[in-house]
Amino acid sequence: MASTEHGGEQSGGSMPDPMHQFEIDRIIPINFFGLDASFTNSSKWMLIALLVVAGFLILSMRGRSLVPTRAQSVAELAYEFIANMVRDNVGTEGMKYFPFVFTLFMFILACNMLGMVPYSFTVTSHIIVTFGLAAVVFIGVTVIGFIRHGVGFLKFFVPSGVPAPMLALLVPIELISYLTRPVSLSVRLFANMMAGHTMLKVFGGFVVALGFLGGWAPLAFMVAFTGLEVLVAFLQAYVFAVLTCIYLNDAMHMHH
Amino acid sequence: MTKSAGDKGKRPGELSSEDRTHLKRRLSGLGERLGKVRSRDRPASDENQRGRGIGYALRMSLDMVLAVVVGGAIGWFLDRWLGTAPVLLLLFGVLGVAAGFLNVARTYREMAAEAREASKGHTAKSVPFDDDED
Repeated sequence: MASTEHGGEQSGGSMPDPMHQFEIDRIIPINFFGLDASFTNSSKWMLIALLVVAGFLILSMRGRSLVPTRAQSVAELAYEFIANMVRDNVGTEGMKYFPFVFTLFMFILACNMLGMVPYSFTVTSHIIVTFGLAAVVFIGVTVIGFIRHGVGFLKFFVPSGVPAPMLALLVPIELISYLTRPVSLSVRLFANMMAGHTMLKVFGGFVVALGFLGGWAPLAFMVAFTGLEVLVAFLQAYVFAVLTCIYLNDAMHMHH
Repeated sequence: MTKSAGDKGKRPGELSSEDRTHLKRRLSGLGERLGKVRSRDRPASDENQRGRGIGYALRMSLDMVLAVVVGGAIGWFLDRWLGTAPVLLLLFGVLGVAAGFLNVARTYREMAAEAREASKGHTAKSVPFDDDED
């Protein structure tokens, strides 16, 4: 793999490859007991997202003034936004897990937004990353359910008021429905990010291909579409956090 | 703020308990009125509802399709493990369809509950009485 920049460089043909932006480059190859644990461009952008979030929150809250500065009120807004989300969806006892939901939201939001910067890499456009995040939520929520309710959590999969023979049919259905959660959680985020970025690249290619005369129409579309993509970047982070709250609520209070 | 005989020991500027309850009642009344005005001025906009509808539609369709995929995958792996070629794949595929409908039905129930909540014409919560003494 020639490690060119992750823009949309000409890769042979006349049209830039729209999938080129999703390629993984090894920056520092690391072999961890036969596992490829290299520090890649994906890792780099995760690290950048982490630094951006941590740096922003720490620096903006340093003043701790009663009348917040602009940066501080943005940080407080984010805090309040997620705190209300957890309180509305899980209840006050769910605030125990607020740090987790807040971290998840801020990380995904930062990854999505950094992906909108030209020449950057969108971490969340890889399904393994979003599936990793969804698996943490799924396994964590299941463990919380078993800790709170013990073996009684298994009743979550047994609908009440159903005759025994029907249970043989309904329990597998409930199980499949439960197992769909991490898949839909990860596919939603990944598909949205990847589709949007591919679209942008394809239309960028149209601008070049149509030249000075015809290129303005796709360019105008791209401007509007970039706005939509910023909205999607925020919305998907929000949806991920809300669904995490809903799953948490299911595990803590055991009702669908 | 009228000072009654019982308040003599209080520092100036402090509220008596009846003043406090009076103030609380006024605040909650104010909150109710504010809520009514707000809900009148800002009816649920069409734009907002359409966005919400699209969100639900995307969620339902994805959940429905993925349930079949997940069911099929479970069946396929069980088939490979037990060597019962197409039987479990088909069985779990059908169960996956059922699970997909279950997902959609649940999301729909949630959606209907939200719509019912919205049509009730809610008033805002009363303004919280911020006082560290109680």
